[in-house]
Amino acid sequence: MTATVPVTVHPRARRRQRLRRRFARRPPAVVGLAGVVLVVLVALFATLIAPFDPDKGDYSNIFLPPLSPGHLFGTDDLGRDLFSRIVVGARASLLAGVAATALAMVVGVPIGLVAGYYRGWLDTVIMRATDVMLAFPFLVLAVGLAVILSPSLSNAVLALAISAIPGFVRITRAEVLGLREQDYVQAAIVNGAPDRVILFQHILQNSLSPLVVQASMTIPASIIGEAALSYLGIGVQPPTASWGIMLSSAQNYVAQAPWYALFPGVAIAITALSFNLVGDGLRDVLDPRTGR
Amino acid sequence: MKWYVLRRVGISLVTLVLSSVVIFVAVRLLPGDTAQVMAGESSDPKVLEAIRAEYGLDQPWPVQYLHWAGHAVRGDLGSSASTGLSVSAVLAERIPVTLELALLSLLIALVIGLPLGQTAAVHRGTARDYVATTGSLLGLSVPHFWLGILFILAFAVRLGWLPASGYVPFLESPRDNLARMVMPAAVLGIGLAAVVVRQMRSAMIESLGSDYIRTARAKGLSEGAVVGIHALRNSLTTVVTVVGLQLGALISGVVITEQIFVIPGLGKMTLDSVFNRDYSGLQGVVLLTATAYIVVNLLVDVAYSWLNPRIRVVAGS
Repeated sequence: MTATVPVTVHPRARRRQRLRRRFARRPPAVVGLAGVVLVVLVALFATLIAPFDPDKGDYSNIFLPPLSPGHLFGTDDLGRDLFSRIVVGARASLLAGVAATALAMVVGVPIGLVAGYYRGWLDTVIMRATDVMLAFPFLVLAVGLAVILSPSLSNAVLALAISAIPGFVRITRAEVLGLREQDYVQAAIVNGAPDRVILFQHILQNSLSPLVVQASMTIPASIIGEAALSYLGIGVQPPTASWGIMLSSAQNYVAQAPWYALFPGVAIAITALSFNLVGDGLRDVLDPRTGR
Repeated sequence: MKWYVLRRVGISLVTLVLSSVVIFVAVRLLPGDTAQVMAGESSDPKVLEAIRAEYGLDQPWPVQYLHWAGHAVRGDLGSSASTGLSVSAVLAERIPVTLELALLSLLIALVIGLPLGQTAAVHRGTARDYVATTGSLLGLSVPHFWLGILFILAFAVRLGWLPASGYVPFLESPRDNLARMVMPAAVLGIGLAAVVVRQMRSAMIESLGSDYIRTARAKGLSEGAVVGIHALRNSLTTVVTVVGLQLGALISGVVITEQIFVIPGLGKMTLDSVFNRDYSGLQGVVLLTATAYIVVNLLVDVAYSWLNPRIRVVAGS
């Protein structure tokens, strides 16, 4: 006699499995994920992959075209290997994208939780503050911060994070406003659960989907933002390799060495596109209301 | 509706006042001494003292703020520390330049974005849809300034069709003006078009699934009329709202695009003011952009609530 033993799968694991399957059915999202993994690996193992020291010039080899022996992407105005600089430059871009997004979440999400949960004057003050923050275009804010705090990658990250905070505050607040009226939250309130538990265990756990989607859209925006700031000379400082800095110096040689401007731009676009494709896929999978 | 509008106007005014305080304080946190910039080479303490007294720089910040805000309300934003010119007069010269750039890029964005978004929605799930949506994501992923460099390389350096940079007023020579504005407007417009495609697509899909579209089809209207009249009109409301809210991104785009193409607009003025330590100029231009952002948001909100009464109910409750 054979007996079938029911296999019990935890509901959360089942949900994760279902989401993974739905994500895998979207070819653009999968391509995006492959791109993200590739860029992360390149950034992690940059020093092993780069064939040359990215900051070391060689005046006897300036402006070598792509596919020159030993220089896949050619060389720049100082004879530095462009492939090595692109590979190492991935670090600054990824770091800026991820760190700015993480910082914006760490600050923005608790503020949004408090605004949506307690409402009243606290909510009013927080919402007016985000309105004021939104009234300053990101580049104006970043330029001001760079001048006050001196230009550097960490200050660029700070500027990018500050401009991303209002987005996280608003999304979290909107989620909380809906969730706090749900029966299970009301039951927790009636049972005398502390606010901290209600906010972080009941409400935050159920508002993760839109936050993950927002984060996946903020990372590429911050990557492009970092490149823009470095391009303007108020982000990463030379000689550190950064895609934005490379574009800034390449602009002076567009006629002479067009490839110099081509490769850093392609690197930024591919990285941002990969994250955007993943973000789009996640939105479809996690957030059916706004998804396509 | 009247109370809703009054409330929104009140909130906008509060935001504007708070923004002006932030601008005033932030500018004073910037390194460098305005009196020193005005004095030029002179470092005579008496000269610096006299300048501070003349411009009220020796007064406490709240007094300085009230003085500045009081004058700003009357359109007087002081004079530039580096050039001595009236900031309001300089802004008046630069506003039309940036406005032209913004409007041209908006036009390009709508011309590209609306038909692409509509096609993607109508042919949802087909190759056309994938091309439009992936293309729009690419538009969001390509940095403006890189596109600007590529355009200069292609159309100015290689083909020689357009001048690489500079500005000619429209009234002086419409042809030369447009020849210089088309590349920067396209650079900005393509980024904005990506947003329009995405919004148009999702708004159109929502419209096409609604009851009034089923009714329109059921009464025998042609597919062209259903899509082109009923669905399109209802989708445009959402698209216009979202485009209005893109103003902040557009202003950031203008700052960098004007820098690349050397266009003497508000964006270039912002960066030049920072790098020249011209703080009254910076205060003026940032106050203007913040005001524009707040006013456009107010108009978009009011227009949207007028078109969609549910918003008023939710906001009022």
